[in-house]
Amino acid sequence: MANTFEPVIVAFCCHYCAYTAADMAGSRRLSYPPNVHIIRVPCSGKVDAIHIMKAFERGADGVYVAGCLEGDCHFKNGNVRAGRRVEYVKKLLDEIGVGGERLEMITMSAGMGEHFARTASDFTEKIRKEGPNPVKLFTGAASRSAAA
Amino acid sequence: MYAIKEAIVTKERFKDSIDTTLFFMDMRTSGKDYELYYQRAINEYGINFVRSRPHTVEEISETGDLSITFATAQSGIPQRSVFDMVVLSTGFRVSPDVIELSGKLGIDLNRHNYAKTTSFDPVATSRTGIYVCGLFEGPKDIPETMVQASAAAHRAATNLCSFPEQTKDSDIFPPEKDVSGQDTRIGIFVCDCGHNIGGVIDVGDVVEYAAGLPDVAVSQMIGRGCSRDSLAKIESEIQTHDLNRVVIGGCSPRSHETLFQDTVRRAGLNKYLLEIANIRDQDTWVHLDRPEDASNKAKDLIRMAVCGVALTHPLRDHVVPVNKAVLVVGGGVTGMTSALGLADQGFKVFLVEKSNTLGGVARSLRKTLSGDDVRAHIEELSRRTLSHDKIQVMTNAMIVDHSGMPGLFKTGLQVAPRWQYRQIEHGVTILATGAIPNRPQQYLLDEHDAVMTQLNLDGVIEDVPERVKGWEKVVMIQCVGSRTKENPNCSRICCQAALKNALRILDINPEAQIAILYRDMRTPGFQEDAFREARSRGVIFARYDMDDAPDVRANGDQITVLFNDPILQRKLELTTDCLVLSTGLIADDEVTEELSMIFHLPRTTDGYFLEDHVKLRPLDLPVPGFFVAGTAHAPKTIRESVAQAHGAVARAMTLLAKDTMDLGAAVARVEESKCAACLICVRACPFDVPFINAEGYSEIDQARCQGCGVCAAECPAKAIQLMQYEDDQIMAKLYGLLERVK
Repeated sequence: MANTFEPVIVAFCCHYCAYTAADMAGSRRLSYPPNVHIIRVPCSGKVDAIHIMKAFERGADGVYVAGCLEGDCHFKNGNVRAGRRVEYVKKLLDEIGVGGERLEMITMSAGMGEHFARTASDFTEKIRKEGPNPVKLFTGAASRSAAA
Repeated sequence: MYAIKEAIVTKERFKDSIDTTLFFMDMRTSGKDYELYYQRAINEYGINFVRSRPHTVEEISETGDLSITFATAQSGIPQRSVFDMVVLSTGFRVSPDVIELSGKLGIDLNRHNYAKTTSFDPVATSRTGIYVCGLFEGPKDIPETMVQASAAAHRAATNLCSFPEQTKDSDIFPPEKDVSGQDTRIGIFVCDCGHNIGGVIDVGDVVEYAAGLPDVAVSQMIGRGCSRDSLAKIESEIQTHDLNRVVIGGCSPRSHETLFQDTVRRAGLNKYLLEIANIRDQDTWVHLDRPEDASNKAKDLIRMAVCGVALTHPLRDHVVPVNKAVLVVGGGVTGMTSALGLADQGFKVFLVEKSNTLGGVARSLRKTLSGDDVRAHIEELSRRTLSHDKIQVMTNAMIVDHSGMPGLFKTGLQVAPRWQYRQIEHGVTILATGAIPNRPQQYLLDEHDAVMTQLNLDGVIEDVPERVKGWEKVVMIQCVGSRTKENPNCSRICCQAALKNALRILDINPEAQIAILYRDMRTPGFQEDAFREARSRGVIFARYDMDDAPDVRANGDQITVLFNDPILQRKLELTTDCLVLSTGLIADDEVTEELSMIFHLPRTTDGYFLEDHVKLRPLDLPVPGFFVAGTAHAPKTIRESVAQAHGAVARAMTLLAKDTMDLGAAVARVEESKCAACLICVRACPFDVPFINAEGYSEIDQARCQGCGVCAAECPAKAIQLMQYEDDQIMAKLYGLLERVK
């Protein structure tokens, strides 16, 4: 069972750095696990706590928010705010038993295609070890009907 | 480079089922970050590089295979390898038609039949008013071709007296259809992008799957989606099927969103009723080795886009007036050339230079490879720059802050001697901050008088030729401080500098014996002529490997150089009167780091500014209104820097020629009935835009909003939405993805 577990991972990527780095990973053909699904946001600071919580509620096994390097944010400090928000949501996840380690804030510059691919691989491996999101054990059918 | 790329693509597609061997004489990966690509080909892809010039390819009649006979330097004995296929790297030559055309136009060609141009005006032909760009100017890669295309556009504009009438959107596009109240009718168009997508996944299968998603009226495969025919097809399909939302499955929205937005707009839809699923850069390119997973992921990404696009609604772009002044940072050859190009077109230019004089690194350079007088050119550029009534030069000036938005930037400076603060307002910025000569403390540099860099030698040749006359032996070492672990990239300019200086030494002192110790001679284009001339005039070239670098010892006034000659396969010792190190350029890390923080711009790992798209937008930086030129982009010759300066002027003029700039629609809007005036948005906004208005609600000035969405994320009442990235759209994508999770 554990061997066949393929985690579903959501990566919220800021347009200016992480999303660009993801494109660069593409143009350099750097492979990473297909489990990672990118949602583009203008700034990592746009990622709301509710987006992250809903992702877990609907069964995502891991979520990461990827923004610019500290000091490099296109919007001054959106990434710092995102980092703080991620810390806060990690605590919530711990409290409700999902586990804060399923959520991560990652920073990189637009030129770091290698870093993007590597963190995508590392995070996927980490979540693979964590196993499936426990929410799914309880709400599988319910969330499915809600999604439809 | 082309060969390496093809070798890598072959490995990616067929893995280890195909062994790839690349025969080469010198590996010429001198473009920006090309050396890193070469290293990856060796270390990560396991491509077998053989340094040799094969002399015979024969067919083996029994098997139809091809045998290649070659000899390497390590063993003079001919070796034979057998291959299924042989691909020849054949390069370029000028076609007879073009030669004939040149005759009719009356432009001069060089000895290789390419258009003749000069170092300081590299896209101007011998006839005023006729310009050249791309391969006809000389063999080159895509980025350089793009740069020259822009450069030629600028040079041509200098001959025209005024800008053509501006075209308005209403001249090009039909009126927008009102889609409110309509049932959602989504059209999906999935591109195969040649082999890029279609070679990895079954596009037909994805299209069929997508047809079954909710509200999808049309799902089709399109060949190369960005081709003119395909765009016309999408346009007509939108009209025929009365579609009101469009999803494109293809490459990154970063490079192609505008193109598809125009298509949607031509079909009468608002351009924001479009969503792009990035199934190339973020799927097929990164999951080449797992086609089935890539195919499933493409379906996921398209399903997410379908869910998101259904909730889009028409938006109006935010338009700002363009301040037609330009800030040029850096007063070297590139900065001055850019400033003059813009000022001559009538634009106000602020030229900011951190040192006390104009000219930059080129001030310490005297001659180019083709023999042009650099000093005279700089003097002329400086004179024109300083006396131009449209250019305000600020030397000893430091940039300290930056605010505003594209078209309406404000940049703060401190200017010596009193470091008083002043702010300038400008619509466009060109970064021409240059690079710095590398001076690694190796091979007795700065310890022994007989050791110098190529840049030092250039000065000695001009100023103390009698010293050159006294030299019996000269040794040059290439790649000093570049292509190393610490600085892995190639410095690009050093091979031609070594040849230039070797030939100048021989001009002064024909008896001098010159040896150049090199790793690969990188003489692209017509620099090859100098390489050939140097060999024919007796310059000795000996290759060394990184793990067997030359050894240098002081020997009185002279220097003894010990190196391994790969052809003789023995250690040789040369005692030389002058040891010249080819040290190249390194990024001005302090400057680019500081400016990348102030302007929010990305850099490469080795500290150069990173352009928006390496091939398609080599002069544009990711922040609209910012451009880069010269050695701030990567090491390059003056000739190449001037082409980039001209190109950056043309890119800047595409913005300056218009009275307004389109900043997109991503601005935050407040729903007053939900707002509790809690001040959280006021405190959260990085740009201090929201305020509580007289009615007691948060108000966000659309003109000043930068579109980050921080306020929307922090608003506890969810009274703020960032257009284009509204919460319901993000959620819809999320739910779309997680729908399949059980």
